[in-house]
Amino acid sequence: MTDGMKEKGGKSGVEALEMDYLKALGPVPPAALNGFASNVFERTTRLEASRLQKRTHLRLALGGAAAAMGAAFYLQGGEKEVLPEEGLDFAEMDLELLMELELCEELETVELLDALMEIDNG
Amino acid sequence: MNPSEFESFVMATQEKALRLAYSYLGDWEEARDACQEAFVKAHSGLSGRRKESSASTWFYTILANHLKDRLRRRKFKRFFSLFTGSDGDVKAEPPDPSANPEREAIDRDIGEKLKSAVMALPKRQGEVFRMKAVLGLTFSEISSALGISEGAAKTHHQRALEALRTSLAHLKDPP
Repeated sequence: MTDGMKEKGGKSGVEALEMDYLKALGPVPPAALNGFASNVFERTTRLEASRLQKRTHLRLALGGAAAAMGAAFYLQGGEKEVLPEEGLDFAEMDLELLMELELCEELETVELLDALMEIDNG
Repeated sequence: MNPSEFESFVMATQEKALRLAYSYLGDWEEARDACQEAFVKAHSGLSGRRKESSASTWFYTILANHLKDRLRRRKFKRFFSLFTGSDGDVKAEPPDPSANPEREAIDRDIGEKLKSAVMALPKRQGEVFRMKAVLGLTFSEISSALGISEGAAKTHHQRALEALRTSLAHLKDPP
């Protein structure tokens, strides 16, 4: 029986019990310590490398997506909006509309064209 | 913490960490494996910690949680092995103490009983006792490592001591 277990209380009793426990655990065997730190560094280095690779892949993917979006924006923005000219182009006149307006009833083609030209000029 | 600081941190902490892991697991090989995993887990988080004292307390928190996880997994494996008949790769027994000449010097019977008594302590009491005995942490450090108040840490320690004395009372020498 060790002192630590014999003593009922007090700091020294506690310390002795703790010492007994440490003794019971024994020292760390050299086999457990051998290469321990280098193994840890190897694993953390590998982990860092894989993280870096993942980050690079993510950056490339994000960069590609951004470039695609930029290109799409540029191409869309590059098209100039065509504004209609002032006045009425008779070629755009709807014949059906004219019919409804009874403008081209019983008119020959030449007359019709004249009429359209007049509308266009007017 | 830069790589060289991390390296010196590992070198300074490894022995205590291994002892703590062994006190939980009772197997040096498993303890070594668990410690390495805990260091790798802690590696990225440690980079943000400059103070070595806070870093070690923080690391012991990670290690203790990792060890508890291992014990939980071991229990599960044992439970599972009841149905499968396999041993579930459980290494419950410590290695042959004769491999360590220093350990032969101590009273093996009392030592083994003390280790078993610590293992049988309620979870929190066992944690506090181990952190104080194996790592030599103060109650303040233990409280921050386990996320409990300092008073609670002291109470758990006191109860652990009482439980250990009770369970080891039969080992007392006759008057």
